[in-house]
Amino acid sequence: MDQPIKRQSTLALLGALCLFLSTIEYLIPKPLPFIRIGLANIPIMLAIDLFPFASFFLLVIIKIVGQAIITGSLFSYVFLFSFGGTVASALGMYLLRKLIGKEGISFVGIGIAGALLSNAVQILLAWLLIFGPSAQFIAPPLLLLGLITGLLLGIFCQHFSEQSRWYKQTIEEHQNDESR
Amino acid sequence: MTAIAAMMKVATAAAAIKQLFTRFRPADLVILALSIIITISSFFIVYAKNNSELQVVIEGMGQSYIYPLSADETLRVRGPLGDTLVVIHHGAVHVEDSPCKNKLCIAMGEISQQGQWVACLPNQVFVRIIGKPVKDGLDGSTY
Amino acid sequence: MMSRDRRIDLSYRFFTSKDLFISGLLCILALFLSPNLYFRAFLFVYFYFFTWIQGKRNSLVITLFITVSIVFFNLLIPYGKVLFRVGTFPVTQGALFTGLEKAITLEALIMLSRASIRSDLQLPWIFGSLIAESFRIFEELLANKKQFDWKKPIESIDTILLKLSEKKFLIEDQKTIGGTKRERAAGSLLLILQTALIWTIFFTIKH
Repeated sequence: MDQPIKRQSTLALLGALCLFLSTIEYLIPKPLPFIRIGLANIPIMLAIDLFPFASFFLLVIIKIVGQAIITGSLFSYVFLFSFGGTVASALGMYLLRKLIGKEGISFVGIGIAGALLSNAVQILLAWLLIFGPSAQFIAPPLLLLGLITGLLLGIFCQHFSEQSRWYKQTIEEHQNDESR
Repeated sequence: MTAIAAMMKVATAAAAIKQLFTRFRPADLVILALSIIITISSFFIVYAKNNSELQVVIEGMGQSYIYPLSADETLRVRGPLGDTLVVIHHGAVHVEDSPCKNKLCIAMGEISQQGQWVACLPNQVFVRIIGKPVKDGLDGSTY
Repeated sequence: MMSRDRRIDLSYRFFTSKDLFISGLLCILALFLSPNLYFRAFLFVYFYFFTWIQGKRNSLVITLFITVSIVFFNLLIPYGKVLFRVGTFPVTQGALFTGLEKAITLEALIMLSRASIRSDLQLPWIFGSLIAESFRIFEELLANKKQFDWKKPIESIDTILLKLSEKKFLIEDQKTIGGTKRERAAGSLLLILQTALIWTIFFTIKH
């Protein structure tokens, strides 16, 4: 009875982090509106090792919906881009970790893969919905940006997961959960 | 003083980066390498000049039209004698109908290669295929 | 001109999140069912105004930028009659129209959604309570953000997280911050009229 509540509140905590980071990213002045740093993906990356898939995906939905509510863009294409990019990236990251394991891949690789997937899907959606074939012209710089941001976010996540007491504590709590 | 401080900073930075790379796990390096390859090749693929699609330029009486050769369009081009019908279909373009007397333009048939052209001289309609970018004036014509 | 705070206050008193959401949904349906570009442009203008009424911030600069960039990208692949040239580059009618169409549709959608979604929207789904809790913790985070230390980023984040995970968050029942029953009724009526107006226009114009 005690553990499921803890898991739910961890989920909510990570969800809150997503919202917080979304807000920060929203407020950072960017030269071009489609430049995304992906700060709000950090909690999602951290969650990969903490939750079973169903809860993980729930967090992804919270991130997408929460971000959309904050920026007020639930209906528009913008939401569609965010949805497509985040889902593709989250699924990809989760799969990579589960298939290759913690020894084979760290958050660095996961971060890069996630960022590239997210950007690729968004370019695809832009191609289909607003830019047409000309979307290809913006693809290379966006991919480069994804590579760089993914690398940096991945490095940060890796450091954080190694040094954070909260993170270690949460992993232990959830592992006790699993072993029941 | 500052020179030594700077060197120390560079040394610690280099050490940090080195430590970083040794902490990479195998799949990280694979993904990093793959991503760099994909990113760089995307630059080549998208921005190389030989990646341009062929275009059809149709000119008649002060108006000009541009379409990709892959388009599916039927155009009425106005000329002094009337309307010339130009059809772009299945990667090729031809004159379907024209109000000229000898219908030479129709007889010229279909074109689909860069540099080719057909024209209805009586009706002042010119149809040619170019590669990007659009230049004024005729490219080398082949007939 | 009413001040922004006053507008926010009034919109919270008169309109419930749910009403806004539902009327927004209905209007989106009208937007998608009508390919008429003037109708979509009208919806854009109307909801731009409506978001202003609610006290939300809109940036004309960003709107313009998005529109220009969508049109620009569509112009890159020439299609149709050449209208004029910018240097050697041809601006074609078909490409221009496609670009404008996509840009106007996108902008109308954005304005519509800004006008229909408010942060106090309660989601009646399973994770409605989860999101509510997330937002609650989020507010706590905002209150705590001063404890973030630039020089020790991971440590300070860690401390904040530990503190928050200890705290018990009670999920209170959402109280409607709205106004009196009469005000809310008036607001609902307004929204119904608005939706009806838009649909009437939809049915009268050609598509």
